[in-house]
Amino acid sequence: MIESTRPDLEACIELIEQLCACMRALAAHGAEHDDVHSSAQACRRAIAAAKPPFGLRFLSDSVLREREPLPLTLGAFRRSQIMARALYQQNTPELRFSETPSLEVIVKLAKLFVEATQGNHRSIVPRLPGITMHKLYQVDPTSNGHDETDVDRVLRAELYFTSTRVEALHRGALETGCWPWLEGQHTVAALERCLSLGVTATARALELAPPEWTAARRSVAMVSNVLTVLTRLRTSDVARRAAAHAMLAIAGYGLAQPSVSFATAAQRALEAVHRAPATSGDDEPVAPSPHRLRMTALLSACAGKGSSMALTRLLHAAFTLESKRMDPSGQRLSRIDLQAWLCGAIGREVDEAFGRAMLASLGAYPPGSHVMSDGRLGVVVGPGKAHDRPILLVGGALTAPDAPVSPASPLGMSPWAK
Amino acid sequence: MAAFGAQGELALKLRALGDELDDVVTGLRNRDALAIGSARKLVASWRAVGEPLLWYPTELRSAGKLVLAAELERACFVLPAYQAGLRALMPTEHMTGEDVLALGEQLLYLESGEIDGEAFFMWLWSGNPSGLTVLLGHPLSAMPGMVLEQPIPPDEIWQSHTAAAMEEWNQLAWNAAQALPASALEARFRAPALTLAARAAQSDLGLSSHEADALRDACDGGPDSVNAQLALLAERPELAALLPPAEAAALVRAAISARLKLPMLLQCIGMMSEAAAAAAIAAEPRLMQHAPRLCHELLAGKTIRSSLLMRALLSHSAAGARGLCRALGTGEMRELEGDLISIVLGTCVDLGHGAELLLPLWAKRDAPVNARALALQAIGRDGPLFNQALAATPLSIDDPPELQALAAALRGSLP
Repeated sequence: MIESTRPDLEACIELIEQLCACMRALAAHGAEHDDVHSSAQACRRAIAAAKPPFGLRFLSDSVLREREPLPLTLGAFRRSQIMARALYQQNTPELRFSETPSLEVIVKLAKLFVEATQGNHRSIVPRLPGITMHKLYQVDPTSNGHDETDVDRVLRAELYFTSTRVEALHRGALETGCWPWLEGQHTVAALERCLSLGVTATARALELAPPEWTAARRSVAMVSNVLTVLTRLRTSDVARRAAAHAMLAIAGYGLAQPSVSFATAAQRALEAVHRAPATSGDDEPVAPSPHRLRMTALLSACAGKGSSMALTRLLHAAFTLESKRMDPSGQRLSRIDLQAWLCGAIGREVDEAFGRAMLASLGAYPPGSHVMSDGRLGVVVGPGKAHDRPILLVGGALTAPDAPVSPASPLGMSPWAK
Repeated sequence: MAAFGAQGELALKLRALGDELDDVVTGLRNRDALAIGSARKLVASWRAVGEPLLWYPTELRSAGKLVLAAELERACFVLPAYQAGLRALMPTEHMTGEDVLALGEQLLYLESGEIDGEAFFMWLWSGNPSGLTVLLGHPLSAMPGMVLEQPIPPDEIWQSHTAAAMEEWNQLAWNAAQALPASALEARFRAPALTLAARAAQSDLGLSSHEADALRDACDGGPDSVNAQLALLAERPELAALLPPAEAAALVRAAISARLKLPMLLQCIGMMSEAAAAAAIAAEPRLMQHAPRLCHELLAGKTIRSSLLMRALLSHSAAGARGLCRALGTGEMRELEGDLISIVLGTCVDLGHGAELLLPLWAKRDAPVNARALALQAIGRDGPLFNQALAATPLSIDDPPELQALAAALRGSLP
């Protein structure tokens, strides 16, 4: 276990340990016992060392101090779980310390925990000066049933962060001429995590974000598209990750300048990948893993060298589709226009099988598409009962249309067209 | 409470599996040579059970039963591996002791703090170990992103999404009208949108399950993928030289299963490190059908040592040595050095394979003379075998003088 070198985090772990000790002493001996007093004193010291104000957030399998995970040892983890169960009984998994509380308050808090672990949760939490307990708004990746808008908010932030990361990654790769393997892998892993929270939700968060379609955001869209198709096809992890990583590298070189062809972008990406050190070192531990071999071989195939690979056709299709988002005239296409273009390009500009897989991966009307429903303009948020009846947002409310919707291309149906 | 019958037996097997995993890590920690034995035992136990190992913060479970519980001084790798994102492990049909050892080594590094959770996660994410299927979840470092600072009522979110979408529609429609005439907009954007609507109405989208299966198989590997990887290794010897043994073995298995043409595979094996080449050779008995060519590539490679060649030829019940003798008998082995062949054939005799492998070669009168000479020279290391060989296939007047001379010399040197 890597030890923390952060005294504030260490103090929080100490607080958890001592609060549990206080609970144990309280349950065994009652409030007047010396052990209760000494552990409560230790709690006070730990709180002071942790420097209030701060909050401890008890998630299902971790504890955060504000937004930083505590590096818990096995013992501390077990004790944190006891406290987490007590806090979840109260439906208040966040414990905030605004100041160092008195001994009396700490004993009251420990008593509250003891009662909660015994199943006696209080509907009214007593007033604890210096300490407040709160609900926690979170998306638990290990369970379903979250509010869709919470998932959207988490994904929107994650995708924004990923786009920023991609921007820096691509800039670095262009400047050094060397592909940053580890950072590329971490980026793809982050996008995989987004998709694990919901494929449709990820597409929705990406399409409905604020309107600037930067090269980084388009790269994220390309990689997400590849991941979505391969997730739907249930391909192996190695194939999916290699394809996504290769797409990320191709996007970096393909979107850096206008009108770069797929093969040229792949060739540049391949050169950068070959320049990355092939040794296993501290800085860049990239000894040829199955991922590295597969990804590099795929890039090589995309560049038109060596053997052909089926995945090159998917990468080509995703690249071509995203390239269309910006029309040569400078006009940006909306999601429904892109989908309509794809529908007509299958078997011509894009591969037949992968084109159809892309077309169907998020439904005929993917999230972010503008459609008309019952005479009103709406935007698609997810699949519905049938291909032509997706779930919509119309007038700010979720709607499941009974009748088929029709596409509302802002470009093709502009009321201002002359 | 004790469980009886099949369930009780399964529970015992699973506990033994957990003990073996802990033994592997403990063995590696103590630099104990028995770790490899524990790893092989684990492979056998896991194959017998055939269930995935589910990874929880403080324990491993399988088939609803406890496999291994973390304690203060036992299985201390469980929590850090969970925090790094590990959620489940499933053996593949190709799992080997080396895969388990590689996993054990990483768990040990993680437990002792030599690597952090991110490095462990990335090692697994990159397809290691190749004989195990790994399920990863959200690592601890990703958890802060799952917390929202304050609640926002869903209605407000949907309203803001709608407002943004309407604004986008207006802006795009306005810009389009300024940039292009109505006829161009109609042809380029409205007509395709209506085609899409027609196909959606007819459900004329997507792939049949049969097509999806075929596409998945094509993406997952197949000959083209393996071929591309081999071509890459052949082109980039520095990558081939760094290939870890387990991955070398996996590549050989994939290439043989895909019935690829072997020259490139054999060339790649010749470029690998000794350990990787050894693992590659040991991975697939069918490779030994190509022993002569393999010998040639191993000799051409930079890292070849005769011990590796020997190991290769004598693995898989000496299938390689058998292939080599067959090739010598048919004259396919002209390119090889006689000295090395002598060493190999001599080792065959020393290890007791002389009667099976070399007597037939000696008896093959239509075999090249130098091959028969090499066989006889090797047979000469074992007096009784030598006598047996000459009794079964005596020298005749048709045999060339060099064989006669060799036989005489060997007979004279026998004790």
